[in-house]
Amino acid sequence: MTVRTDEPAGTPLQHDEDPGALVGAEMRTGSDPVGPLATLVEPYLGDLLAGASTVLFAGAHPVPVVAHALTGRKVTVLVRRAPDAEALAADPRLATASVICGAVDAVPGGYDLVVALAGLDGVTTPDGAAQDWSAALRALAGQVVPGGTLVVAARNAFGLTRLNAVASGDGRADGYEVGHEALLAGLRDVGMASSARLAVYPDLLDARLVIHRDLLDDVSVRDLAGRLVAAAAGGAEPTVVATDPVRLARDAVRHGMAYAVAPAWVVVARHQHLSQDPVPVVAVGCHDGSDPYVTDRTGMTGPVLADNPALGWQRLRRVPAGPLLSEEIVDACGRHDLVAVRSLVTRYATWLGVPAEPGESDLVPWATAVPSAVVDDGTDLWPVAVGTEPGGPARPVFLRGMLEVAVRLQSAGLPHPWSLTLTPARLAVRLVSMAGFTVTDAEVAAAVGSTATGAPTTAGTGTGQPGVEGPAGTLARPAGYVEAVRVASATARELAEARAQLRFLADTLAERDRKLRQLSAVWSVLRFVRHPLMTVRSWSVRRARRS
Amino acid sequence: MHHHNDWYGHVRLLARYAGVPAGGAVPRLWGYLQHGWNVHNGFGANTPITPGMPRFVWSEAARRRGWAEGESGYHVIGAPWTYLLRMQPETPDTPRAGTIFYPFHGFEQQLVDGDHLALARQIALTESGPVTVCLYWLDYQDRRIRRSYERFGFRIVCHGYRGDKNRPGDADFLHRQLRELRRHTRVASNRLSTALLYGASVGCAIGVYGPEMTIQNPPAIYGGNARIRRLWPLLHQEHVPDALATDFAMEELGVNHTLNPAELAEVCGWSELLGGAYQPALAGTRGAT
Repeated sequence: MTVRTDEPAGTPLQHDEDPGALVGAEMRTGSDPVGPLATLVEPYLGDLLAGASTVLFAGAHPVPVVAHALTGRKVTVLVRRAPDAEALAADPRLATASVICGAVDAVPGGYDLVVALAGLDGVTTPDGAAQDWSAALRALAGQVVPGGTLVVAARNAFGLTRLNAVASGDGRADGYEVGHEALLAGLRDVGMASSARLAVYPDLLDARLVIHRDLLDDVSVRDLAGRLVAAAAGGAEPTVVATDPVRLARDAVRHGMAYAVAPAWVVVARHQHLSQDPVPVVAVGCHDGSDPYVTDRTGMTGPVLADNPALGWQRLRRVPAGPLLSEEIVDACGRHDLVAVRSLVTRYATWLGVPAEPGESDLVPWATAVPSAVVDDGTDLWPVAVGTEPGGPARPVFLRGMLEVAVRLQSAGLPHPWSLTLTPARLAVRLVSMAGFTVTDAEVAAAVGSTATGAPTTAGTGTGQPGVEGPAGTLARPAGYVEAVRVASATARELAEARAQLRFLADTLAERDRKLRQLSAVWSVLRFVRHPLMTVRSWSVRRARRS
Repeated sequence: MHHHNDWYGHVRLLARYAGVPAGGAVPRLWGYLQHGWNVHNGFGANTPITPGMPRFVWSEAARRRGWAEGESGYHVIGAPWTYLLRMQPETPDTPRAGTIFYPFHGFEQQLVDGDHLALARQIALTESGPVTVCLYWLDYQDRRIRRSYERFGFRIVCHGYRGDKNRPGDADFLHRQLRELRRHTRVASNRLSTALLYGASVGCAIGVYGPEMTIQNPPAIYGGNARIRRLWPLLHQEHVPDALATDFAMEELGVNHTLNPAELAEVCGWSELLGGAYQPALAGTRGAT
């Protein structure tokens, strides 16, 4: 085995370090699971390996697959955890491979073929520069020489696994799940295009079937594909799911959706000149009073050369371009990016003109301007559903707006940093505080009360948020059965944690009691000793009796 | 409340910033507060964390490392130091001169092996202006260690007692440190450490050099000083570029995560003390990560 050492000059390795192999930002503990996906994909790798003299396996791959690639070429294995690197370095089957450990962005690059079948999160670490799927993809693509090939697996953000899941995970949006279009766009951004697309069932880590998109798209063989996919879906590890995964998978194939909703994909991508790509039109728009223009996939815009005679062109009503404020807040909550949440709610409060104290009442003309009715164009906020309701004080509008976001987060079971068992009123208070305001119970109750009367706060959620029952309000009604199960499981988990915390408090109290008893024993001895402390004690006792 | 929380007077500092009236008992902080910069999950490898209790950490890096180990309950709130900086902004006419040096230190349960005399010699060779050496209270009590630096004419200071299970730390520990740092143009150490972050955050140039000292029985999960050098190689030089030092300090101290007083009171469960809404200590803290 050859070993790479990228230690900076003058910084010799310490006694507590592994010998060599560390390229930076490695994880010190644990072991990544090795799934069978690479074994299933191996037949597809044959031709790719034949044309490559340098190969990087990025992430945890089965040793036999790596060993098979060793013949006649230089192979490097990158893993992110030190114990995995140590185990691989000691494996005689990889005697001629270079084993390195760390984050993919710390690797110098220069490989003809990069294989990353452990997923995009399998090559990043907490201390590395890449912290989401797009950064991981860029880092992987950066390892490939011009003309080289990248074979990468990615989990589908809209895959059957996610759609059918009941468990809520850890309340954090998975930054490594990706949509198919976004994945292809990400490849385009790094100058690569996919040459083969494979669907993975039933899961990335537990792959049992890798099937080419052509087979799934071919109507004549759909029965076969359906049986294959359904069989794979049924073989998954037993987990709590919303519905039968076999039927769901079979129906996905039958309706031509099996690739789109596959739990994961494997994409084979190569560098290519962007000019060779077709550049279809992706949007047609028009500014107020101007001629229509088209936008292509590269982001270039130009005049429309021909329009549809049947429809003709008409001037568009000027609607500010940009996401709804509520979506921005919800997305930031899902990423647990509270810096962004703070910025958004503070902008919203400033835009509304919320006064620092409840008494100072500034009126806003848009009483309905809750975040789901406000567009952020990047520089300013715009109300898009002004309505006919009269204006009102800004502070209640702000509080109702935050309550609307809180209800949406809790009812829909969206990922966010807080407890699923938190009442929307409490969550709204937290969101309000992020803009620097302290809210009283009376204000919370008043805002919750106004939602019960049908104010627009919860109208968009359709959840029928009940009225307030106490200062902390009541729980949001789950939007569906899955969300209800998640609340129940969160409650059970928090109950278990509360028991552990009670135990911790009881232990702490017992420790204090023990110390008190020790002090008491010392005190009782002092009673029989002529000590200055006793004088103080006698004086205080006499004084207490007199009083 | 875990006694680590008020080391260096951290909780008292946060309470003051949040507007909790002074004079009463130290307000309880339900959870665990990171008390120093580290390359783990914000807490000691052996700190027992009760399930479900919140972990208040300084930076996203600490939270990411915790997440990677399957932990949850993280709140990134920035270092208490950043709140002190908000409460005590620098006055522009403060005169600065010389270097303050922080020798790497152990603590009561884990001592440090190293040659203070060799370090003092290296400091004398490297620094051109007046030098202040700040010792940890344990080292400060050791006359031999003090002498190692005094013989080179260095001024010796100690910021105070950080606290332990039975005795609270000095409430003005960080205030003293801030005053000292603002009196110097440069801060240095023989280990990339919290004091350097503090120094860089108040405009000191920083440097890392000198004979390495090692702590006894360091948990393997930290990866030793070699890991720190590998993660931040450019920060290990006698004169670190100012921009690099500042960016590093801002990131690791979590300056962007510093909360406003109202939110801090909410997060810490103190808003009721300020007339805010009902705030049970446990409400809404479990899921925060």
